[in-house]
Formats: sequence, structure tokens, C-alpha cells
Amino acid sequence: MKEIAYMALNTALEYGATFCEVRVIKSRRQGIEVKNGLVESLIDRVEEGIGIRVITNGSWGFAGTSFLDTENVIRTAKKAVDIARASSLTRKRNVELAPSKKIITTWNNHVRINPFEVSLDKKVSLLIEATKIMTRVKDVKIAEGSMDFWDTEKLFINSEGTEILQHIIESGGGISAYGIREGDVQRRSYPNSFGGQYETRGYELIEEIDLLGNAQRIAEEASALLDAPECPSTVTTLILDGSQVALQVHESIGHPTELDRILGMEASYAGTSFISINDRGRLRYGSKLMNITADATLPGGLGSFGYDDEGVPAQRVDIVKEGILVGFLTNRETAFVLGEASNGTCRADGWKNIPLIRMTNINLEPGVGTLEDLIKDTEDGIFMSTNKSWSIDDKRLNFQFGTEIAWEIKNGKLTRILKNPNYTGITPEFWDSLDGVCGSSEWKIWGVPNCGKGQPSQLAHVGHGTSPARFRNVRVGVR
Amino acid sequence: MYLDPLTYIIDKARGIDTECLLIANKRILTRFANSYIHQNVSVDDIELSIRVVLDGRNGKVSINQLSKDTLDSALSRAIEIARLTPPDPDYYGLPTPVSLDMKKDHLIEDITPESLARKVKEFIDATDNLNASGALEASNITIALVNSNGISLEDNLSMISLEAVVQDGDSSGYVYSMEKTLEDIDFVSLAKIASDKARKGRNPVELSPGCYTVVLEPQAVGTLVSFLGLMGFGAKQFIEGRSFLVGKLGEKITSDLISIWDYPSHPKSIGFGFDFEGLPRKDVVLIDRGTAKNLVYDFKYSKKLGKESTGNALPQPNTDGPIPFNLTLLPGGSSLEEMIASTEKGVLVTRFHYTNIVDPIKTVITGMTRDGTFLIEDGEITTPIKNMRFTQSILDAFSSTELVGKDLYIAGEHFIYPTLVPALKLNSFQFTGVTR
Repeated sequence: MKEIAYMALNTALEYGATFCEVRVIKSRRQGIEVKNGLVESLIDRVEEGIGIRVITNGSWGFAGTSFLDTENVIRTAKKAVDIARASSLTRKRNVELAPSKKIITTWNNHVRINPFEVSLDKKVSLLIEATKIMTRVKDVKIAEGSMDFWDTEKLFINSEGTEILQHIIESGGGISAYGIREGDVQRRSYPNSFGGQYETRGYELIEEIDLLGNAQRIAEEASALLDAPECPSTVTTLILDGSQVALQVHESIGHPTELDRILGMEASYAGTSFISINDRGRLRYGSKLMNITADATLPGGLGSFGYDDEGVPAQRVDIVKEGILVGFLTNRETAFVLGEASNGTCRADGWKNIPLIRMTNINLEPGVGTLEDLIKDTEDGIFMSTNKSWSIDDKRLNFQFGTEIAWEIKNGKLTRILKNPNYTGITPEFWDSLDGVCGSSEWKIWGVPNCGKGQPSQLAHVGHGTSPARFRNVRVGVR
Repeated sequence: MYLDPLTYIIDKARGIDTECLLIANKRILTRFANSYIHQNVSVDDIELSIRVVLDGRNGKVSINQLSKDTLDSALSRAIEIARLTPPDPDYYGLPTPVSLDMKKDHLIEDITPESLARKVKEFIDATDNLNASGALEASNITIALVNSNGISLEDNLSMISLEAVVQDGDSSGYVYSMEKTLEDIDFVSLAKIASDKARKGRNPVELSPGCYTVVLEPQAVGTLVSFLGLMGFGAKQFIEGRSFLVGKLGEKITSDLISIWDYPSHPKSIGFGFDFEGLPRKDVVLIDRGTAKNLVYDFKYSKKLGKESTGNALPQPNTDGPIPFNLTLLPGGSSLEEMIASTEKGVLVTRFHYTNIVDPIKTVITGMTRDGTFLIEDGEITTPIKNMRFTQSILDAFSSTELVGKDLYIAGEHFIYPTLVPALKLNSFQFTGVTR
């Protein structure tokens, strides 16, 4: 790995690059999907490649290849420089990077059970058994289970002398039951929708989430939803479970505080942000209970790592403090605009993509009490759980989320189940209505393995530490 | 040249049902924002998947290196996985060769980062100092598929696409174009269209949510057609009861003015001559003048249901089943200008943003308008309006179709295959919110 990395770096510098960084990545992914007792998909993908990013003539260029022979690596390094020269045809000012310390180190995350050393048979058998439990429940016609594992070895070097070798293992898994009857389809998932829970941990995660122990419950809930009334269209008090708060944080806080979006660098694709660069320290984002951190140092978080893809150490920074915007997610290029050092959020989707500002673990810091306390304290409202759909405008203001299930709250107690729940709002107004955040006992880092951004499209693994939270005067049941 | 490693695997696995699929992708993507190129990338990659089936047990391994050692080790691992996997009771063997007619694109050889950058500069310069952002992408994709039943195919696809947003303070305009050569894209004209829309959109006002007549430009129609495609034309979704077409085949589901085909033979359609199992892509009438007609099939679901494959297989095995790749809403006879002129009060939508499914059985989706939303009054565009949220059943919207555009455009929807669609005038469309 090291030999071809330095060959690329030296070639680019000799060919005219004034700055160069190289990533050589070897990775393996295993993905298993089981439906109704049958293995429907099993991905075992091994890949390697090199990504070379340079600055020449004050502009960026990037080239990547999976062909790792000497001739191709040299050609690719020169291509990166040629691309940067082409970029400079429209240059307005030179790209400048915030300073970063020279680091030579290695880093790996803590894993108790390497998932690639667990037999395939054991994994498949667990998922088959879980789906069998679910399909025994009335009206559950489809039961799905999945597991995903990644093993990534990544060497980063740059022309400032940094050399970092990281080894990260990630695991994820979950189950879903579909109740289907007379044109109605209702899904329940555990521990979360869209594949379940994901962490930078080993197979111990799969053992801890106890898929078999939860299969019956969620299947019964999917079945019960078929007979449930629709979520009413009204304005009410809304309690969200931790997993839905995680997605709310992701869409309405994580993305709009990415400084590249704020500076217009994602305008044509994902959009911009309602936040301006001058809002830091001034904008009231939400109520005083709102404390948001970006923390890539949390053990196990899916957005945790040792160093980002610019060689900047993982950090914990405040984004919102007592409701006031105090920070952005930055990389070396955008941090330079602020006259600051990068806070280490620049990551790429594999060797073939450039690093972009990506969320790390963006967290709503815990408040006090339990979910039970919060419900007990609510006279009239709705409790929604587990995301089903999401949508937000290009400035991250107007959002609408749907969840798999909701329960009506009457006089401090959960009562009947409601189906097809959804809610809508405007970001700062919604967060300003936050009047309850559960405490540490309910706080958990939810993994989101499919955060899309950039062109070519990249997927990032990010996390959100959240606990259930309560919002007042929310419009629900949009139809 | 890509067939060689695939043939090597098939020979080595003699006696075992084996399928090798290789996708090679060479791409340059030049991205610009704030009227300069800020990201500019070139990637050269391949993915080779080896699938073996032992007594109905699937084993599959993907690699991106083609050395003999890597190929040998991947085949051994695929066989090992197959031995550990339970059998699929619906395994009907691998397909056998069927003659097919491929249009095989010529790979784009002459495009360089500099030629793309010059075109981006041309676009930026033509926006008259407004703020231009976008991506110009050139890609060559080669697909090769060989199986142990004698299928041996290779096809190429070359595409150039421009997606751009031009901003003028609080407003923006959008253009999208996908063509076969760089010369086919008129960068100056597109820049002027986006700039003009951005200028006209300044100082937008708030329109109350409610039910409106809408004139949807092709990019907005593309979103509706793409999402309809996700919700139920595939045979697997249908038999699982998750399709909006369950109980509706043969029934009227939209206005007579709506006909939707999976239309790979259309001259403007983009795609390969065969599907991911090596079977020919066929034209399929999905909705004919408002009536739900057919589903799409891959080899497995055609055998299971006693039909013929329509050439709609994704890489096997997969959880999604067959899907349409070339959804086309057939054109009508109206121009966009006629649609606007015939509208007493309505909303003109350039495109939708961040759309997602709310209820797949009722085909309800939600999303936002973006990059040019205008009020139409007495047959004229009068006022730019703030972006609005819609929550709407696609079939209900299509049931209110009044006019269908006469020209077809390629519409790109992120993460979904492009569609071929005209503009539409719909008499009932539900806006449920407004942004600031």
C-alpha cells in the first residue's frame, strides 16, 4: 500500500502539484438479506483502489483507479494534475487550506468479535429464524432480516508529511415485518428501519440487539397497524422516539450546518442552507434545551474514526449551545474561510471519491428523565416511532417525516395505535418548540449508513446520539 | 477484452451453473459552484461479480481486480458461500442465449478534463454574472455478461450530462440535458434558460397551500413517473402484494391521456441492449390510455408466473425483483406555452426536490418544488412563488390530466433510472405546505 501511495504522491508533485494527498484503500463488505426464510441476496465484495487529490494552479484535481500497477498509478497521478490545470480555467482565487499538523500514526476501532470470523451459516440461520417467527403472526406476509459488515483498511498520506493507517470494522443488522391485507401494507422494523442499527463495532452488536427476542413483538405491531385508525390531522404535542429524533437531527441540523453547503458548494444538487456564515453566535436555532455536538470520538458511533480523510484528528465540537448556533462542520478548505483549523469532518466514500464535509456523530445531548416520565407528563399528544419517510427542502427549512407507528397519548398514558403517522414543520420553529429531552439512560447513537451527498453521488456512514424528545404545537397527519 | 476474464471463470467452473457480470466505468465529472470549478474528478473502475449456483444454492462474490489469483480465489469463495446458503426453491436455472439487437454506443474517446472545463466556462460566461452551479459528466460504461449456458455479451453506453442551477439572490433556475456527445449540448442556450428563470423568480411571494391546477415541466413529470416506477410495475412486488397495481390490472387507473411504457427501443432511451441476466430488453405497455396493462419480468419471475421475461432483471440474486429501466410517458399534442395559456389560475413547477414515498399502495409521495415555481393567472405567468410542499397521490394527479406535452425530454431523478417524459397539465394537485 505504502509503496504505491508514495509513488503516486511523488509523481504528482514532480508533475506540478503544489499539494497532494493520496488514499489507498482495501475493503471488504458482506451483506446478507433474508426474506421469508430464504436468502435473497448475499453480497461479498472485496475491492481496492487509489484516490489522488492535488492542487495545481490554485485549483483542485482528483483521479482514482482500481488498476494498481505502476504504469496506471503514475498515469492516474498525472491525470489528477491535468484535471487541476483544467479546473483552473475558471479559477477566481487560489484554493487555500487551513493548517493541519503533520501526523504519523495508526488507528483502529475496538472490536470484540470480528464479524468476518463469524460463520456465514450462523448469521444466515439467525436471520432465517427471525423471519420465521415473524411470518407466524397473522397477516404478516413478508418478513425480512439483514446484516451488513464492512472491513476497511485505509492508508492516507499527504505532501505535508502526514501518514496515517486506519483500520475500521463496522457492523449492522435489523428485521422488518410487513402486515398486508386488502390493499393495506404496514411495516414495523427493529431496532430501526432501513436495515436496523449500525455501529463501528463487531458482531457483538448483532448479539446485543437480540433480533430473535424482538421478532414476535414487531410482527404483532405490523399486524395491529392494519386494524388501527389513521393518525388524525391536527396540531398537537409530539413525542418522537430516539431513532426518529436522530433522523430529525440529521436532516434539519446536520446537513444545514455543513459549511460547504452554507458556502454554496452543493447548490446544484443537495441544495444550500437557511443558515449564513454570519449566523454563528447569533441564530436562535431552537429552545434552550437544544444542545448539539459533532463528536467523532464516541466509541462505537457509526460516524466515529481516528482521523478524517484530510488527516485531521477526530474531534468533539459544539454546534448548538442552549439553542444558539455556535459551530459549523468544516474541512480544511472551508475552515480557511473562517480563519480557523478544520474540525475534522472531511470524509470520502471509498478510494474513488473526493472527501467532502460529512456529518460525524451529530448529537442532541441528553436532558433528564425517561421516556415514561415524558409520556406521563403529557396530557394529550402523539408518540411516533421509527422512520418511514423523509423529505426536506433545499435550504433545510420545510420538512415532512413519516413514521411506521404512533400511539395516542391521553392523560399521561399511551392508548390506541395510529397508522400512517406523519408530521411537518419549519426547522427553527420546530426546534424552538422542544420542551423535553430524555436523559442518558435513553440516549443511544443511531447509525445512518446511507447519507447521500455530492456528485458523483457518495454515501457516508454517520451517527446521531439522541434520546426521545417532546415538541409542542406540531402539525401531524398531513394528507 | 472484458469477456476474457469472464470466460476464464466459466471454463474453470465447468459443470457448475455460473454467471459472470462485469461493469467497467470510466468517468470524468466536472463540478462547479459559485461560478468556478470547485471539484473535478476522473475515475476508472470495474466490478466483476461471479455467481455460482449449486443445487439452487447461490454464492456470489464481487471483486475489482482481474489478476488470475484474484479470479481463482473469488471463484473458490463463491462456491464456498453457495455450499453454506440454503437452496432457493424458485431457482429455474440460468437463462439460455436469445438473439438480440444492440445499439452499442461508440465509447467517447476525445473528451478530456480540459474540453469539459471549457464547456463549463462557456456556460458560466453565458449566465451574465449570476451564480452558476452544476455538474458536467462524461461517462463510458461497458457491461459484459457470460454464463455457463452459453450467453456471452458485451455492450457499451456513453453519456454526457449537464445539470445546472443558476441563482439570482433569492431565486434560481434549473436546466438538465443528457446527450451522446458534448457538441449535442447547447451550453449557451441552456445558461440563458436557467438565468432567465432565475431573474424572473426574484422576490417570490407566499401562495397558500391547497389544491391547484399545475403545469409541470418535464423534470417535474420525471419525478412522478420515476416514483410510480418504484411502487409497483415489477412482478415480484405484485405477487408480494406490495404493488399499487394489485387488483387493478385491466382497470382504469388514470386519465385516458396517460400511457406509460417501459420503452427501451425508443430512439431517445438510454440503456443497454440486454438486462443483468443477458436477456433482451423488450418494450412493455404498462399503462395504455389510462388502463393498467402489464408488469415487467425477469427470468425467475417469468418462469414462476408462466410468462416471458421482458428483460428487466437487476443483478441476481436480489431482493427487489424486476424493475422498469426506461419508463416513458408517451407524448400528447400540446406545447408548454399552450398549457400555460389555457390556465386560468395555476402553478408552474420547474422540478421537484427530495421527494419520498408516503403511501406506496395509494401512490402518495411528498416533496418540495425547486428552482422556479410561478403563479399562472389568466393564461400568463404572473408572479414567482416560494417553494411549496406537495403531498399527492400520483395516480390521482394523473387522473386529472388535461394536456400532455408534445415533446419528450430525458429527466434525471437522483438514485433512479432516467425517464423520458413530456410536460403535463394536471387539474388537481395538492400542495400541503410552503417554505420560507
